[in-house]
Amino acid sequence: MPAEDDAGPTGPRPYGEPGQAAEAPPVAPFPYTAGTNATAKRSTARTVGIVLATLAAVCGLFGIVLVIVVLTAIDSYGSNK
Amino acid sequence: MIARAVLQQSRLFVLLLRPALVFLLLSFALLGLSIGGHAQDLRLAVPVSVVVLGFLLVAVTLNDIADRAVDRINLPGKASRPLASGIASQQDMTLIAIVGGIASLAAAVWLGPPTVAVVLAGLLLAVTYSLEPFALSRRGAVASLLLPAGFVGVPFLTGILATHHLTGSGWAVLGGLYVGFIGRIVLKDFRDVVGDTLLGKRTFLVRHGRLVTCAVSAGCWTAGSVILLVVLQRSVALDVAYGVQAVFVLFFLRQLGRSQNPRHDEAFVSAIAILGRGCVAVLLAHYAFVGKGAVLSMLFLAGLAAMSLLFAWAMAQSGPVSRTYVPAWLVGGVAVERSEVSSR
Repeated sequence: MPAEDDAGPTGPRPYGEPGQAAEAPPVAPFPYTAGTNATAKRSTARTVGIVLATLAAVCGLFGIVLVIVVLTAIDSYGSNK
Repeated sequence: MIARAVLQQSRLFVLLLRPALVFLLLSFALLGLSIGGHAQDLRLAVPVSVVVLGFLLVAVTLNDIADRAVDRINLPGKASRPLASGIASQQDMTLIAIVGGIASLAAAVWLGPPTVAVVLAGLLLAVTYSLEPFALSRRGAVASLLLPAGFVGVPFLTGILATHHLTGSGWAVLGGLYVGFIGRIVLKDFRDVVGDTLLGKRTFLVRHGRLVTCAVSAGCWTAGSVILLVVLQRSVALDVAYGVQAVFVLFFLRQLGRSQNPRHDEAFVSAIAILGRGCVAVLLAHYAFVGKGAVLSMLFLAGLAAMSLLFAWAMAQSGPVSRTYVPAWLVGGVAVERSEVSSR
């Protein structure tokens, strides 16, 4: 009998059992298409970032300037962390 | 010849230091410095950054070595996984891990014995997390509890210990960050679920499924946020800027729980990661603007929250912008040199 830690939950697994290929779900469009498009939102977000970075630089907070610059550079790309 | 070898190793350093992870760990370290009252102190920020980046190199490199087979399925050809994609050899990776560990320890020695203890504990965790016979990364909930200890505990403690101001509230902040980060880290396996399942890597998601994973994440996010907002020197602006982002995280978790498409999964997890970074940025800005005026602080925190929400909503709306992970010249240079070496 396997240890409880290894037993896992009962019932079907959403991604198949280990060693089996999972079924690929059909490609579906993204759900939130209403309103302005994603490009416009990202452009607005970058503008906000530029204003905030300028404000932080005026206040001499160069660490925060760096934080904002990095965020505006990476937040458009996928990351799971 | 030597210059070429050094250049090649330098390129690998850049490939392995993933931007989101670097931001995350350095922001936790900066938060430790800020809470200790040294937010703008470069004399501490530089060695603290060396400690953190060295530790990160070790952790990432060892994990890439251990997960080579899984990464070949989950992230085929990704330059951010130089070992799995054939850009680097195991010897290169081992060398980088050694260099990272030495750099981290050397900077820790400069900061003092408590930091050395933290780094040694972090390196031990990195080894046991990835490598056999321990391979704790393959142990479901244990992995989700241990990884945040390394990614939050090492940088935050390094930062706050450098200021010699680690108090009870500092430990409480660490607890809040740790619990909150568990809520983020349990979601990382959505991207890798196919390869994990195929190779029997039974992560928390594979063991317990989508709904339980999202529920645990929501619970940890809520608990972590409450702890932080109770413990930190509060302001209305901080409460609102942090709270609004946390509420949107819960909304995206609800959508992730209902999602039936891997592309949507990736978008929701990425949107939640953006808000997680936004929350830490708000905390950093809160400390940076102490003494600069309440109105200015309020406007800044509101702007930061708005920026993160816009990026997160755009991510949920259309997924990530596609790109080469690193500039082509960087990957090409390493790959060409690798093929030249192998053809000799």
